[in-house]
Amino acid sequence: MKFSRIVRAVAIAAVGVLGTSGLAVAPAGAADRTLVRIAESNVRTSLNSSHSDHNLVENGTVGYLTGDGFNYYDNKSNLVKKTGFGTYRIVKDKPLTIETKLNKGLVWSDGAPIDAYDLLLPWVTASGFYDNDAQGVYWDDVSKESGMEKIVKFPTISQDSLTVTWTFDEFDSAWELFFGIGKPVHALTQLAYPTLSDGQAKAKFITAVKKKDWTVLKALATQWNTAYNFIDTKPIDASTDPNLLIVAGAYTIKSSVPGKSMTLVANPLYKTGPKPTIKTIQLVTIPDSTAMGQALANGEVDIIAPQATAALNDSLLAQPNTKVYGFGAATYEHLDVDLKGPAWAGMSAAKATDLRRALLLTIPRQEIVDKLVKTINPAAKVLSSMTPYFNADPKHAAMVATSGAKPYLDAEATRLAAAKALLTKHGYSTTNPLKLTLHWGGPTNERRKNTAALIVAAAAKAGIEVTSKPSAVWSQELGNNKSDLQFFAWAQTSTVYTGMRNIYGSTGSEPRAQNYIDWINPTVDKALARHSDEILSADGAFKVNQIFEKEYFKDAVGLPLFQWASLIAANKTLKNVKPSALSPQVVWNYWEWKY
Amino acid sequence: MIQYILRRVGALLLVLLGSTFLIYNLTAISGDPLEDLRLSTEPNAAFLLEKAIQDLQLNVPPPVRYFNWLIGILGLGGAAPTMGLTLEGSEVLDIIGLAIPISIRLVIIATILSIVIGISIGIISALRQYSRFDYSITFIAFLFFSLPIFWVAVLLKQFAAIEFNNFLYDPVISTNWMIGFAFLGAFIFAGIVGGGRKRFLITLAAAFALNFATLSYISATGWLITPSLGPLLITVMAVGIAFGITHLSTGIANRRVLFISLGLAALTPVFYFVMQPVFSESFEGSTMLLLALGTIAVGYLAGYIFGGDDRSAAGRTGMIVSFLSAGLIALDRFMQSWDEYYNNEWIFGRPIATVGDSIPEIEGDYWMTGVDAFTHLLLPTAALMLISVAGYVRYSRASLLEVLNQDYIRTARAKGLTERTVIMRHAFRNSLIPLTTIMAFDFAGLLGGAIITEQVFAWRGMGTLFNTGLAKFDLNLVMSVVLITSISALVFNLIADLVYSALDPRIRVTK
Repeated sequence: MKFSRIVRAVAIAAVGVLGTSGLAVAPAGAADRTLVRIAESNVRTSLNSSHSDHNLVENGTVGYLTGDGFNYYDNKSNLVKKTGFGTYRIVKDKPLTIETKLNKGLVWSDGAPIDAYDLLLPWVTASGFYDNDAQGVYWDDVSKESGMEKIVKFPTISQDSLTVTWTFDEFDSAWELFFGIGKPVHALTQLAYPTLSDGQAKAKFITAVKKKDWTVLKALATQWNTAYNFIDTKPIDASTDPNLLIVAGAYTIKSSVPGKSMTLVANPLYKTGPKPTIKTIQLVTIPDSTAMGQALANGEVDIIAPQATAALNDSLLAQPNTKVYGFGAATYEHLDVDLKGPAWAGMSAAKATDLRRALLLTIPRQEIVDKLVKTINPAAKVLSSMTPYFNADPKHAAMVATSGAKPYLDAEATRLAAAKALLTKHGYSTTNPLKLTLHWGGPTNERRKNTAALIVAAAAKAGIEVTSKPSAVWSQELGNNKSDLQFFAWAQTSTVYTGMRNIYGSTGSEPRAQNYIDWINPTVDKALARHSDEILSADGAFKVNQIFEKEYFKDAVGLPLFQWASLIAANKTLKNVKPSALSPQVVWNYWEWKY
Repeated sequence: MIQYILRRVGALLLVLLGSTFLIYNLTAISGDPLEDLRLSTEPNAAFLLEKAIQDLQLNVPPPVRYFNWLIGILGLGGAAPTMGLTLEGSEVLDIIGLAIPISIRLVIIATILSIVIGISIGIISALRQYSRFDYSITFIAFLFFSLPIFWVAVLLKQFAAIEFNNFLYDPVISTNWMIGFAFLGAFIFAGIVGGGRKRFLITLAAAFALNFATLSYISATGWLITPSLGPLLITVMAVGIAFGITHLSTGIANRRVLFISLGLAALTPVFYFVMQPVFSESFEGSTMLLLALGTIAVGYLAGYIFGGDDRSAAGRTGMIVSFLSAGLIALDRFMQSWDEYYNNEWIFGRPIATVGDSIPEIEGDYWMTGVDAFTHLLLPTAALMLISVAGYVRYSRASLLEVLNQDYIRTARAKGLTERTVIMRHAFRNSLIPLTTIMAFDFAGLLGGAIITEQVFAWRGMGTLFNTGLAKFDLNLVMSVVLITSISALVFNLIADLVYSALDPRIRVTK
């Protein structure tokens, strides 16, 4: 396996050296093209990306291109309001009351109006109030238990059926991401009751929801859970039930071949945003990253999002028809100290903190970034914020200035001297080293292996002997308290901070589910609770995060390393491709694309 | 015999049980399917994690889960036998059902072509033992045999697709390249023809001139963009086929068979004009199959009726000649659709593809989709062939050389048979017997697909399923591929042994 990877790297490099060439002369009419083909690594499995088994990037891309909503994330991770679709506002703070209002005259791709019932459906599926074990009713939704359940009271629907007012029982700061439309209510109902007209279908839905008619709800939930999940086994063609294909977004689904591709065409009834210049988008599955690069060189696809490696990056840069966009992903690598690791057992809290700080001071972050990250994203920098404010964000510098991360940014000699001083204080030296175990990713992960090697070498200079070991099931072993250090990456999916509680917080006595390092700090708990319990402005959130980061560096429980580097490459003649870290990623500005 | 088969089937089941148990457990402990969820910062990550553990039975130890899987496969739990669900909840059987035809489509052409070409080259190489040709072929065979296929694929895509498509924008071959190609072709041809130095040089010169002229024509007329054969060239080629096939089957000396072949070749231009309206836009694949069978039947009957004493040999010759000549007419018709294909908005002047098995949205008739299949099959087939042809060359060369040293070959020569009869009827046929084993393995591979080739060419066959299954720790998917692949390997192995005993009277299957 290792050998084959080396040979593969050599092969890619060889192609790069040979002078990879792409389209030599663009054929006439290139500027008039209205077709974009996007390569993806995995197959699409369902038209319902809200289903917990089908919440994949690939399904989400289709969901975004064919869907519509109140807001979306742009490439700067700003949540942009889409006023062509509708508006929303806070009516009241206590209890939190939100009014969502659809614009007048919006229609689904079959011409049926989009109305309040369609806004209601995501709440029905995600809140859990319409599940019933005894009756065998369960709506499978990936958003379960992430906030919708706090809207206990049945929402108020206006007379014109365009406005819905939602009242939260308990505050939730992520409310802005909750509302929108998913599947059309009339079509979902017609899947279960094919003879009903659109109006009858909507009436049946609302009656069933209001009266909790479990028979009807069960029929609807079954459709929701199963009807859309055929994309990896059956084609979409003329024989597909049209009810499954009704969408609200800029594109409709023309056809799909399981495991291979899906073709989307512009929706003539779409009017909530700018009309896209690109009339046809084809999503093609290409599992192999090298194959993606060559397909791009050959003009078979126009945008690729391959797994980023330095060798691939080099060969893509050598392709004349290709533009490469290296950028920071929404995932960030960090080194954690397992506070219940064997090495700290029996130590006084002060001693353990000193030794942890000594270790963290030795970490050669600049070297790691230079050798392992810059090869893909030349703009990469050492990440020093854990909340995180990424380096491109002006708040990163502001955070570093106050958080206590500064000593870790000193020159190597200064850091090592400080580390040695702390170690000497507790009787450790290069001849009597502090022994630690480092637990990292799977054995096939080259980047983690190299990171570990750099950490081991740097720590040894100060008198810390780090033993590093990989494990195929390393993620299962996170937080099993068998090793002292571990490094891995958190993946952000939004800019709300409600999830931080799970990964750093405690219940007061017990660490929460993903708090693998067993860090219990009442100040942190109190601070993070504010993210969930208060409406915070961006500055307000920053202040809370400041409290958190100060504690984080004071307790020396870990160190952020770097933001993952991602890679998008596109046909050079395709303009306005702007990679974006948060979902919907590269397709977020499809309406700006043109040749 | 029956007892032998039963004993083999029993062993087969035991092997299956052991290997599936091993692979199931190894795959299960090779990674963590929940990695993404554990690293998620979503507020409801814990809820989703718990749900996934329940759904995937991750709290059950893998050896126990294996038996659950086995009970499901065998239908012992009272339910119908099932291959289970994928991680995303689709029926594995449905997904496998889609993948098998794709794998077969990819591998079968490469396998058949490899066998035909590999054996042909191997035989020529054996007949010209220790010649320039033999040494060159041996060298090339070893070279290709040792190449890793993903590397071959990367280079093929670079030169045969990307560079070639660039070249098509202005398809003029430079003189240097023309000389190079013409010389290479001529050298190979002269090597096959063999003979002394003088004959070699004459053949070389003649072939070089012909190649050079052909390439000049191709370059000057833009033939690569608007290719066609036309009735005249088809007739010339059909006559060539008639001579060649007759030479191999009965020898040119057998005038009766030669005239039958030539007669069939002479019908080709007539047939060409008759077929043009038939090959319309509404033409369908099933008609093509009927036509092919019809052509074969006509050829055979012509040979059989006019064949005189050597009826069956004449029938076989006629059959092959008419099939190949008619094939030229169909090829010409596909070529007529090339231009339309080339200018299609999905192709955009870059016909040779590096990924996928077809362009799903291409709208066109039988001929367009045929051309589309060709442009997508070209590279993966070439990649698979480069490597497996080399194997067949070596095996068939060794096998033929061994047979040629047998006593019965000396006897055949001693009784005055012509060299052609000795080689084609006595030596060639017997040299194929040991190759059945290798062929059986290759055909067993049809269902399993080609793991690496499918992955790099983005064909979603069994090989790709296996790869993605492993990457995602999708046990049911991996196990289904393993099960089907191992059953077909074991069954074809058994068939090979039985066929072997049928072909070679010296071998008997006994208990």
